[in-house]
Amino acid sequence: MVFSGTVLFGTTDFSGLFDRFGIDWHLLVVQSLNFILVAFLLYRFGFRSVIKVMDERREKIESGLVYADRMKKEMASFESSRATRVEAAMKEADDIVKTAKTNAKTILEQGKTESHRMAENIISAAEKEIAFLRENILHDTKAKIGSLVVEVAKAVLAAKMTDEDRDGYAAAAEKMMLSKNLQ
Amino acid sequence: MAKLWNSFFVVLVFVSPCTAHCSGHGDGVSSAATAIFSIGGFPVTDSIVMGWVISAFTIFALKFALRGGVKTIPSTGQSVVESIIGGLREIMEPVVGRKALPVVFPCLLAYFFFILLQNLGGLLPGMGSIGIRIDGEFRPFFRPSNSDLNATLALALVAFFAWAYFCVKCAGVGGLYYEIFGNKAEKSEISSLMYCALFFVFFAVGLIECISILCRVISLSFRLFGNTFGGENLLHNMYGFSTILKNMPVVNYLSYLIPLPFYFLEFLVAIIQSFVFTLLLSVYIGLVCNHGDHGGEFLKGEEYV
Repeated sequence: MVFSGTVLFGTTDFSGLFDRFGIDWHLLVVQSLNFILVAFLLYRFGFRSVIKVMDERREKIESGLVYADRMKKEMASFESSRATRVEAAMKEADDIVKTAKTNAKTILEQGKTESHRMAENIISAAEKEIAFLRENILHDTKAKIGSLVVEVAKAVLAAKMTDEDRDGYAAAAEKMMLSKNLQ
Repeated sequence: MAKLWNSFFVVLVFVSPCTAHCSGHGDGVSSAATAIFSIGGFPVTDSIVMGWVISAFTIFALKFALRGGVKTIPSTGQSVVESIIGGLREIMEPVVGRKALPVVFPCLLAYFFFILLQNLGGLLPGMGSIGIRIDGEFRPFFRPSNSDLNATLALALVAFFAWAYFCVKCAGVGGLYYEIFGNKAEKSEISSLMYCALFFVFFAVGLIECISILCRVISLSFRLFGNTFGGENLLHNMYGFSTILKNMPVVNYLSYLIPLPFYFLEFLVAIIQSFVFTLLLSVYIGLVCNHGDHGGEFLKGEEYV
């Protein structure tokens, strides 16, 4: 600085330099305060909020990118697992359908057999019932025919026999009828 | 926005050469600012007035750009401000260091915007040409703030104290001391005797470093002042040259075009100088706070890695 002062101003005294450039501590203070004030106001009313918003946006973008990346990986993983699961489910469904078909066939066969058996039972029971009813009917019919014969015989005999004869014949006929029926 | 910039260039290019630096032809621009009046013993010079005008303009321009509030989805004005801030942050982050940046960055931004607009303000019409004549002496109302050594020296002094504050805040007093005077030799690579001797060497180097740090005030202030003041003189002399040509019969119509290229030059200088000042300040801070090349950062409460 001394050398520069000597060359430029022919003096080693800085006061010449200060005078030539008008350096004054008053002005230095004013200019310094001016800058500090402007810097503070710029920070207070502009830079602070802008930097904050920029940082927030950067964080959002970064987190969004991370999230998108993670979602992409999860999607790929999900797609892969979904394909595996769908394949397994298809296989399982095929097995279930096969089993169901087999079971259905078995049940159908069992049903058929059972229905056949039941039908045979019903037919057999019906036949028995029919036989029983026929027997009863035959029995009743015979009894009624017997009684009719007796009544007819009574009527025929009533005209030519005495009451004692009629009763004796009637009782004998009845016994005979009953004995035949019992046989 | 493009229309705005076009209008700005038209005004800058065609009006400024016609109006600026009309005073004092041939004498050049005065190296000292001119006092216009004083307030409570404090002289108010033309550069201070210009500083206030541009400062007010800077704040209002920023408020105007961010009108309606700062939003996540930015408006046009906010986008412009954000693009400048984002660009500067991209540049400053590796210099200052990621951890120190949030603390330092607003100050660096203030320096950049302040110096840039003060420099650009020096190219506006009316610089040095609007004023009053007292006792035959012309006293301009406006003088580019950075063409006054008081202004640049004030900026450099504030930068020096800001540097000291940020270094202590980010690296701590111990970190700052270590950075200046500390023995940075690898103990495992040299003998113990040599290592102890190096303490004195590094201390002596630290003393020289202190002088270097103090000289930063001079270098920062004179670099900015020299460029701005030199530019003012260049424009002034080119305008004086054009007035000489104006009296010649053939080239008189071209005389006003002579300062034109130099306005473009000064426009670039204005941007570059604001950037250089800011970058140098960030480098000075980064030298103490950022040790990315060593694989770590030197921060308060942390051991140097």
